[in-house]
Amino acid sequence: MSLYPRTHVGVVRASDLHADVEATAAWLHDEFDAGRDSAVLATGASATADMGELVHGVHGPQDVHAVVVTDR
Amino acid sequence: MSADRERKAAKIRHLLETEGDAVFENTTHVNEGRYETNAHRDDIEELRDASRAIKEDAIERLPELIETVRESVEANGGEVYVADDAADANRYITEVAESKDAETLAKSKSMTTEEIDVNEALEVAGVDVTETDLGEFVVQVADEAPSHLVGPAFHKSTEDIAALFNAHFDPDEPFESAEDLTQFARDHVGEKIMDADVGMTGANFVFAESGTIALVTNEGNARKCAVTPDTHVAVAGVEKLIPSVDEFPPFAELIARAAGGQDIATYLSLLSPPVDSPVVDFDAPDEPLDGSTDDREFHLVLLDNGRTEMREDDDLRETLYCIRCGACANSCANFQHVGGHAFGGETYTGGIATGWEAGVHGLDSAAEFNDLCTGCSRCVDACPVKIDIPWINTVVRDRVNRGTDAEFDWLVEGLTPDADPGGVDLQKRLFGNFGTLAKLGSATAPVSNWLADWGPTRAVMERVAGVDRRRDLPAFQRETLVDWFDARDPLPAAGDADREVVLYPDAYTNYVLVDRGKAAVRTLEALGADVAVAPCHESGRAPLSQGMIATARENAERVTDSLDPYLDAGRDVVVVEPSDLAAFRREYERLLDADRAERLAEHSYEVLEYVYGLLENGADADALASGGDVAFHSHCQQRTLDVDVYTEAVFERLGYDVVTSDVECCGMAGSFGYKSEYYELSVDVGETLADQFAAEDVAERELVASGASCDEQLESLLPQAATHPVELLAPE
Repeated sequence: MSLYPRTHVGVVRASDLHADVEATAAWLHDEFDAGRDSAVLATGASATADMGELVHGVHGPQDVHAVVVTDR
Repeated sequence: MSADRERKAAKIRHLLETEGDAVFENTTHVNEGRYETNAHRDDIEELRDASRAIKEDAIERLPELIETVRESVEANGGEVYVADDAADANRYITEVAESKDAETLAKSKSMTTEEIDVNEALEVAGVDVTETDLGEFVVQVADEAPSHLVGPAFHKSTEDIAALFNAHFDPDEPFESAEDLTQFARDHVGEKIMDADVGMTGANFVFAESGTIALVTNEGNARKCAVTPDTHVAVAGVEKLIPSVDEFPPFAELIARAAGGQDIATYLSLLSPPVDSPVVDFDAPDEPLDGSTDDREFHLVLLDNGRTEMREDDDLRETLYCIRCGACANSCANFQHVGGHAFGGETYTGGIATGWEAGVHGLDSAAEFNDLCTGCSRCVDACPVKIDIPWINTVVRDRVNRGTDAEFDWLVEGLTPDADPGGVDLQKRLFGNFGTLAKLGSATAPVSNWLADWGPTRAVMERVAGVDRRRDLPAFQRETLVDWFDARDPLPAAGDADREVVLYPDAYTNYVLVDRGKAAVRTLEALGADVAVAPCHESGRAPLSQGMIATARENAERVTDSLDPYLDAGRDVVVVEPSDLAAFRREYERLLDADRAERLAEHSYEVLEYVYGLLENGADADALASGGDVAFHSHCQQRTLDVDVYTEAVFERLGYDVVTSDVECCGMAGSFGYKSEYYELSVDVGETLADQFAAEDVAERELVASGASCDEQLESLLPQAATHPVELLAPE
């Protein structure tokens, strides 16, 4: 779903944030252990340099906003 | 020039003119990003070691992993098909398409599907295939082959693509910018994805335990192709299997750095199809989505196509560790200038392509471009899984050599006392036996130089051996370094110096660039070392570069025999020519018994590396010539060994102001620049370096280069001559 709209707003709990790939990997390990079998690590707007220069907004969204909820 | 050499030269000339600039711009951009993002981390080496270990283990356990993934995918509700070859894979895939009455298929980028030409097979079966990666889409519209593993259209500039699209799609407003082109392609291709009956993807990694495919993209097209249609076919080489999600993290860190100079790719999609998300009916946007009624299908096609044999081949096995990032291509000077349409086979491009093509399409496909690897070794540092790509190229060259016949062998018998069998191309035998040629040339100098430079001689050399007439030949010196050293009166200090060294005189230093050898002796002595000079024997570098491994092994043994007594006596070995030091440290372990190779590698030093060590240990820097403005070009293999830093450090310590080149290689690369079919490419590569040294504020500086080839290339392209750094430092 997150791929089709031009704008993607992600809402996440501050407590669900991971510092880096290593921490995310530890989380993935636990999740896959517990039966999860898919995950998408998206880090920004879709992009391509295939037309000779970097352009944002390709098949995925052009604008990505992450709203971090801190009071829970 | 022979007809075959002329054909190769013409092809390269054409590509230098039509595609070279775009490839250079694209690879330069990606390389800058790679160096930059690698600098963000201080654990890149650990990540590379970890990735390498995971791949070694996975390939070792491959049969077991195939069984595991079969079970896990079937448990998820999908099918696994292990295809023996391209025809087998295409048959299975077209049967899946036919079983779904598919008319359209949307595909994300996959080199493995290029390898089997699945698009052609599907089109014969009446399925309309759309490439959705924009680079692949450009190549599909142009009806061309990808020129790069990651950037299929790296050979096209924005202007080229605009001209292509304007002619092909005839838009109301002509396209001009990358933005225009991207928006158009996105919309055009986006509709094809929504209409597709089948989605096809590759897989960057397959996790055996959970039946998960990992797709790495920036555009977001792979996940769209995977989940939009109700049928998903993923095609992956069997080598893409890793045990589980736990092995994925180092690759997640490295793949985008190596491929695109990004810290991480925009999308890392881990999917275990058939996925749970509902199939969207784009014709009924108001209908609520209900995944429970979906009938999703997933087929994982694991392709063998020669990989099992590669796995059993001690020299080609490493190829299977490749994660197809393209860093070997980007870091290769020849590739940067000519691109993958010359530096590539039927499917794969760049340095590692030699291994892939030899393994999946056969030696003939690899033979066509294998010579473009000069063994400069810059890809060795770039590869995220530490594949020794130059060695794979050397081995394949050796195998190609053994499979061909040559007609002029009798001409070079005697001049070429090599251990390789008849059939090795005459040009390769000539260059592979440089040490013998140089010895003869020196013994008969200056007549040999006059004769070699004489017009008719050059004409014959060009016609028969492909030695380009436009190159100046090395001028052999009558008095060799060894002769000079033997005729000297020993210094009074000899015998009670702090350090005792033996200088290894490579053929260039002994017979051609004798002054740099003398400078090395004087410099080491001035710093208090007792110097001996070993006999001159070819290290094996020259035959290795021609793929003559048996001769190289013979050379390596002879050199080691001649150096052993000095090592036994506790002397360190000092080497002037970086490519020979690289042979000692990198290739000898493949040519000699492990103990012998290890001892020599451990006790060998590049001359400025050794000077640095002497200065650090208290030698008197005042004994050397100091101060001045220098333009320094390090040698490609010296950089891969990480010893270039010592030259810079010594210069700095002695008060020199140094500007260092930042090209990967000078383009001469030993014999490469002499070969008539490659001369123009060699000059094109060299001009990038020459431009840096001809720039304002640099042109007036003293020019120094560590390698003999670099020296020759610079001399042919710039008004001023280059010397070896040690010649600048040596006391009078």
